[in-house]
Amino acid sequence: MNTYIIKRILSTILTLLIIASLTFFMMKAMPGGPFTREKPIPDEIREKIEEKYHLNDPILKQYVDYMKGVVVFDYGVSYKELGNTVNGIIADRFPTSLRLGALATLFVLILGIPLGIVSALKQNSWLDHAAMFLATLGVTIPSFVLATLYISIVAGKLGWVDAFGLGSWESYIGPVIALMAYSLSFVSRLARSSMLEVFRQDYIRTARANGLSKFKVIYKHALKNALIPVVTYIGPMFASVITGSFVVEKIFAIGGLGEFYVSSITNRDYTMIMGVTMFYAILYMVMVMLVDLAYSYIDPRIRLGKKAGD
Amino acid sequence: MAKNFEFVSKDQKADNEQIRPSLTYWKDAWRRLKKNKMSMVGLVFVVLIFLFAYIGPLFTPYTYSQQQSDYINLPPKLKIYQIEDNVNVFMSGQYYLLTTDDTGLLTGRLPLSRRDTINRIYYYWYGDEEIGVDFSYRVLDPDGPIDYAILYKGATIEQPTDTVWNKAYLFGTDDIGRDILTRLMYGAQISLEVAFAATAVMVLIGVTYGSISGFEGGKVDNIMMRIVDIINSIPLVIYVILLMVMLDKSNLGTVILALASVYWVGMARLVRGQIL
Repeated sequence: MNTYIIKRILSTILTLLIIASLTFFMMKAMPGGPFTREKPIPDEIREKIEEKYHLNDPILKQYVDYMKGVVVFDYGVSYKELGNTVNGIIADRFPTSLRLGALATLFVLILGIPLGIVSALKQNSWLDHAAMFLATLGVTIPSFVLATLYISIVAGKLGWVDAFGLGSWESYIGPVIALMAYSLSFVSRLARSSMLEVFRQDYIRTARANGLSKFKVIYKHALKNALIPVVTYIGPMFASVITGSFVVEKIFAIGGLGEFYVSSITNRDYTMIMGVTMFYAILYMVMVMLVDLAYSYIDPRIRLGKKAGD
Repeated sequence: MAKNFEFVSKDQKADNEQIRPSLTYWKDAWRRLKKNKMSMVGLVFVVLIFLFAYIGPLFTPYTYSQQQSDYINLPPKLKIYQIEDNVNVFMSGQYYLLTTDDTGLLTGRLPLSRRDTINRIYYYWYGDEEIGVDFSYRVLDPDGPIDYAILYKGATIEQPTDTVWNKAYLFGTDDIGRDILTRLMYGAQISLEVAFAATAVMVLIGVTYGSISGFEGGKVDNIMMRIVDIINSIPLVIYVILLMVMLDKSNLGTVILALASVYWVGMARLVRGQIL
């Protein structure tokens, strides 16, 4: 197991370097640059700016310089947020997104999985139908619709919470609902269908036939195996949710990290693109690794790093 | 002992044999789908959306790009003020005074005659008569019950006489006077095409890729899943912009390609987890 983890960390680092390189060349291939304007700026000024930011170096030299920074997690200064380093912006914005994302993930875990299990246990009961109806709504209603409805009804008509910002604890409710609606519904559906799948297995029937209580069968034998798809989904979801959502943060006017994933690209803010992409990639890769490790904990038959049949 | 078992006669044997043809895979799937009420409701909705998107445009008199510059930003429900028999006026957000009949069918726009900016009254020509719209109420009392009043032949109509459906544009019009219902139908067509194509590609590639990765395990799995991670980590917007540059146009195909080339990744991870 330990050799697997070490190997895995090494391959993760290699993957991160590939991601950094690909992102670098892809963003350089995009037309336009950080100082392209609708009204062209005079050539001398543009040259001066590009010289200052080393944008007129040969592309390979730029690449080497970038990678030197990436290796030590130093992404340089932002081209658009003048006077701010990329690291500074991330450090400034990330805590807000993290709080929201962690809350959303927590609710997905403590609501989504039990809801799926209960629907599977009482398959075709009114509870199952109601839960799955809500889950369908949650998957199909986009987060911006939920967010605007929430603002117009709860903040507007009823006036219970602020329409924007995160001033009080109540103001977390709306963004968290909008963030988690899709994942919550998706997870409860996944949990339900894989739970149903597991119930049909022989070993569950054997366990019941051997006189184990229903509770024990469900929580000791069925749940673990049913969790594999759920864990697969929740790992990367956590990484993407805590780095913020563009839509939700825009609508609720929360200064999170999410907006930079879109605005940095449309602004061609090269350093910022690299910064937020690598930030997400690192979180994501760590989560994927944890998920893979969780597999072998959940189902000991899964032996990672070995060829099938070994 | 021997008496416990008897030979079966030919007739008896024939009785036990299955005469009914066995269910094929699709028949069984359809039978089980029919049993599930929720699924059937869903199926009916999908069919309805298809009908709306593909059959609907045959029944609307407008095209998706047709503009009516007089009928801009109209709501689905009109607050109308009756001025004569079967002649009503409606004030649009653009300060256009439109006429409708009693059922809510728009009949035209009245030309502006003059603006009395001191008293905040706008005058429009109705034939040779002038219709005034008095906007002073909101200025004098912002929270009052009256939005504006219609002045016609000495009478002052302060409250709408009726609220009717906009018969010509059931869902209203957008900010350059296009019918929203028609545009919704054409938009639904595009969404359906993108959704079906992207989902088909996603399932096809994602399931194949995930199964190979999970089944093989070891090095193959490690390399295949790291490729998945790379694709997933690079922002979607960069792909889309580069695809648009490479294909030199942004049409439906580009959108499908962009979505399909990224979304199969999640499916691949789910399938791989199950196969492992």
